[in-house]
Amino acid sequence: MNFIQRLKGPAGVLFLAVLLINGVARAQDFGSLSIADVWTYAERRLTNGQYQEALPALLEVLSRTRTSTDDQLKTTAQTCRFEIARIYYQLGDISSGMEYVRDYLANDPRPQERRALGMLAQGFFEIKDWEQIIELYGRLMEYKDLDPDVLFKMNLLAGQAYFQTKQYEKCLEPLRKVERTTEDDRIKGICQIMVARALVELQNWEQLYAWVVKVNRTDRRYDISLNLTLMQGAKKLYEEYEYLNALYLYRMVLPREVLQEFAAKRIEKLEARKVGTNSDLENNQIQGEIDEINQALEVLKDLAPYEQEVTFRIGQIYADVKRYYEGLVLFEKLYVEAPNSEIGDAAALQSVMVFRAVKEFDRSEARILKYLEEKPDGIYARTMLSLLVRDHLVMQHFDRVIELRKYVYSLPLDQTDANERSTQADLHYMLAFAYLQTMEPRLSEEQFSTLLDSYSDSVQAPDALYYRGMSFMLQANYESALKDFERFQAENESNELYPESIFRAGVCLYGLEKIDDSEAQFTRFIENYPNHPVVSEAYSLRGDIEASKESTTADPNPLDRAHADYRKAIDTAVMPLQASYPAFQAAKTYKLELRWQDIINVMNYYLDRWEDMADVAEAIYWIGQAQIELDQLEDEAIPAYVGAIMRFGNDPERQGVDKIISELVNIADRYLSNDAREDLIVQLRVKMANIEDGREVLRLRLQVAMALLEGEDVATGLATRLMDQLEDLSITTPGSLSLMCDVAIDTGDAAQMQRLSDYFIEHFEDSDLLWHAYKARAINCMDQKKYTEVLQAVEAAQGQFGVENFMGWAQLLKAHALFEMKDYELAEKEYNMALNVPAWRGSVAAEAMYGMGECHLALADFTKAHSFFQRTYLQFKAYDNGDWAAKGYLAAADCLMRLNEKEKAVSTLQAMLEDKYTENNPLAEEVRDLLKNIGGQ
Amino acid sequence: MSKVYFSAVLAGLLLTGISTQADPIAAKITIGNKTSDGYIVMRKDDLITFRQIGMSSGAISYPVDAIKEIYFPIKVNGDSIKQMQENRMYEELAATLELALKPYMEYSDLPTNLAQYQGVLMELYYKVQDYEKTMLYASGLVKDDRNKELQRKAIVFQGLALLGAGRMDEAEALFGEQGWTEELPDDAPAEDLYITAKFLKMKQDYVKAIETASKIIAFHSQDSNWMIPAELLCAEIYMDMAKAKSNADFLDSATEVIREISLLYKDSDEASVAANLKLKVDAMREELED
Repeated sequence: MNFIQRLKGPAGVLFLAVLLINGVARAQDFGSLSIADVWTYAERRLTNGQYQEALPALLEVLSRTRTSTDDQLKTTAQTCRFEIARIYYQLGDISSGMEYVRDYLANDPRPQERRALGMLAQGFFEIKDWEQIIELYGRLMEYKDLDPDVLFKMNLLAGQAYFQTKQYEKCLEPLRKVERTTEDDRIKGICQIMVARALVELQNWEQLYAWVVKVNRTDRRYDISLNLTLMQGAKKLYEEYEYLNALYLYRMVLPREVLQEFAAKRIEKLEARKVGTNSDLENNQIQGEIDEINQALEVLKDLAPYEQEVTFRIGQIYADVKRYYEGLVLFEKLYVEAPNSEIGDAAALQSVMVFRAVKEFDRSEARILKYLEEKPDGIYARTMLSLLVRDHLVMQHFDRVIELRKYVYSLPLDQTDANERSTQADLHYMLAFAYLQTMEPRLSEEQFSTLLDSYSDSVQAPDALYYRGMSFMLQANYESALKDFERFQAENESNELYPESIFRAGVCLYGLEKIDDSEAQFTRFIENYPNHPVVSEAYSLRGDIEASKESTTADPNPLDRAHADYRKAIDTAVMPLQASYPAFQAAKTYKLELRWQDIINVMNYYLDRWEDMADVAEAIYWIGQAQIELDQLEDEAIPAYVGAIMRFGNDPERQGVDKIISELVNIADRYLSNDAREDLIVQLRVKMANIEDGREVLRLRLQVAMALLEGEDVATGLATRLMDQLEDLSITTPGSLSLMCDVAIDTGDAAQMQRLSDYFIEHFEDSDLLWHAYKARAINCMDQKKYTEVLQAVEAAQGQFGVENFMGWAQLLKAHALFEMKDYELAEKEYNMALNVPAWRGSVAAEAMYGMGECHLALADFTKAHSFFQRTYLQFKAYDNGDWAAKGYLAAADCLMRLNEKEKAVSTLQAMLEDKYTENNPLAEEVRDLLKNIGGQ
Repeated sequence: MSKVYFSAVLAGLLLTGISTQADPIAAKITIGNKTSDGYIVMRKDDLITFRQIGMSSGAISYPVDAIKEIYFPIKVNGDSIKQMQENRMYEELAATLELALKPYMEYSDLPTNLAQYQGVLMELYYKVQDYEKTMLYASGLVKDDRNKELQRKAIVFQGLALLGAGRMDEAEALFGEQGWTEELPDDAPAEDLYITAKFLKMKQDYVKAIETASKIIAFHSQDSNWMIPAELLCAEIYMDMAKAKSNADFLDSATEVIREISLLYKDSDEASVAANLKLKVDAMREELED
């Protein structure tokens, strides 16, 4: 029993009573008091919380008992040591307190050993001696039944010590225990944040996420250090491509102003609490918390703006995992918030990428254009333009690509920036392709040339050289094209376009009429690249060369080689067009040799090979042609033609059907009796009556066929009605369009001439009847005095149809236009050319002759003019009811008058009146009046 | 449903049995600035007869207009309610609350403390897709402007219930009044964005719908009340888009959302719905591939 315990007995009570009666000794004056008295004094002060006053007394007791060997006194000494230590801790003098704790632990007995160890640990915490704390923790954990307070405190201290020494795994358990059990919000918060940070360091994302989700349901989510921890963790995850995990953390990060606002409110509350407390300890604690918050605020203040980066990263993550719109709204927000910053620029680009990913190309374009207008010198201007151009190119919006040309030239370019130069080269390349696709080879050539001249080091340069060659070729500039193809071959042997460049060079040589070289080139191509996709075309062209050769003794059968090539062309074709050309070329050459059965055989061969993808109508046309020649007209040819019309007639693209209709009419005219013709018309009428609804194209074709069979007047009547009634030309085909074009010409209907010719040319550019459209266009332009357009239309027509027998009008119009443009010499030349085409003998030649006279008249060369007019009435009186002869007479007489040869003029006029071809011509009356006036009658 | 709100309600509940009807009803009535304990003896039209405890004068009738507030000691078993909530026994929970409120329903049109329970019922009925009952409670709460937050929530649930019940014209009229048909700014409240997204989805304007719903995900990621339903809505809209545009990419988007719901909100109602959606996504994917 120690001294204190003895005091509690009866004697002790008496003793205390004496003490009380005698009053208490003054604090500082312990020298005269007994140990018991001093102890009592100390105890009373301890009970009242007057630690400062108790201290001297305890020190006094200790000084008297520290060396004692008496058990009771030793216990007293230990108690004093313990209490002194506690007081020093309370007063904040930790180092003094620790001295006494150590002293306590070094002596016996130690009933409070665990608490003392706890206090020591607390002391180590204050001086940040983490290792010592950890050691003490280890010692304490060996005790069973630790006091809960001690256990709590040690877990708290140890957890922090482990954390501070970066032993993150070990800190988790103690901190979690404290967090679970404490009701002190501040301590809970400290633990939560430390656990979060430890999990970040351990990269234990699963646990971190679960932990943070829990923590975030409280006001802890506003904790600045927690937010910084989350950002740190998210950044690490993002850098390791753990996008989803990064996203989870980023989503929890709050903006700076929210954190600052909450912190300010928290400080306010704490300040209010300080005012309301008397306890120094509590005061210090509150101030400590305020200081911590202020520190964190400083860190936050100094932190670079992070909100935008976090927003951008979250946006990127969403976009990467295909949550496109979630990403989009973030990018859009950033762009609005910070349009003039790098991150704003990047957000704009990302928005565009998202729009493209979800195929909202309109919005992508709107964003890009907005950016280009607002920031032509923006970091991503050229990149975005490139994306836009590419999208339109892929979608075959070639006109739109061309419209974007202005940006290609207007965006500022830093020539030292390799990426910019590369993108610029790409833009020129894409623009060039758009021009190629819209058949503007001169402009595509210009773009390719820019690329080759200014970006010769670009990846597109080699291919650009090839395609510039193509551009030249399309302009029929074979010489320049050939140079490019040859240069391409010299510089790019391993390029995938190399074989094609050989083929194209052959085409250029053909265009330059270097036939032997061309043939050799095609042969080279065929031998070296027998499986190339365009080898069929090489065979076709070589076949054409062979077909054009004259048969000689040395080489009697070039056509055999031609046919062999055509057959190979059909065999090696990879698309229908590649097969149909040689097939029909073969038919044409067989026709020249009157090999009708061979025509049938090659057509069947072609049809077997290509079936429904073949131009069946055209093939049947040729088969029919051959069958007619083989006298299989009514049994084979006509039924085959009618069958083809019914089978393919509803497809306006099947132009072979119109050809068949023309041929059917031709056959009817040449071979069928009236009855047979009538039977055919009836047959077609019956078929038309049984056509289902919706097959309007076929219906119209049959109408045209019947009208043509019934005669020109009926056909003209049909065409007139169609012209008036048909607003929608989509059911028309070349057959009906050509009829309507002719009627429009005859009636001088300018609007219809334009409408019909435009439609015809746009939709059926390969039609054999297209010349009707060109004629209508040319005449319309002539009527409107648009002579340049006349020449263009004529050039296009002649380019396609040459000097076929139906093309005299084109040559005449050409000459007329030149005449109207006062280029009389050239006009005369063109008139003269018309005279040299045997197929145009007749009206065309008459008009041409007359035109030549007019040219000389315009040049005031009356003698020459007279001679042409004279030839007109001498050579062409039988044509056009003598109209040209009559005009010739009049014009000749006029020339003679100008040459002051009145008598000859009168003779000429009189000759006209006596000429049976012209005596009744409408101009005869005029001549009679003229003769009266000049006294020649 | 607001878990925070609901748990606050649960925290206020007492641990007793359920009260019975027919007797005078214990209540605390506030008239002017004075609050009195007593019993409501009866109600006749717009008059309430109240007997104050400790007053010898007997029962006094008051016009309902004069009553500021009535507080009823509603008795429910907090523990069992919590358990039902955790076990997602929503229908049972609604029935329990209905029973508890039954004695007081005669006074539900007056300013009482029934509102908070009615709010809970409103959300519960929406959860179990009983839209008529949702609207019944919502329409009452809409008229009570003592708690602006609850009032606003009631308007939102009214709209959601109209949509759920297929009453499109009425929904559209309500949405028009509230501005839920327009493009909303980024800082619009989460519930406004949610209901507008639903409206746009109904109108098959999927692009605008998904953009609106995405704003919740992007700008209200801390709002657990609306984040989870918004995630689910995003998944549904992406599925609609996949079907409308025959674009399997959007099925990938939906799959991603479903995956996130399953990971983030493991034991929630939405996770169960998401699991069912996953099956539909798989079926749609097969169709699109065909």
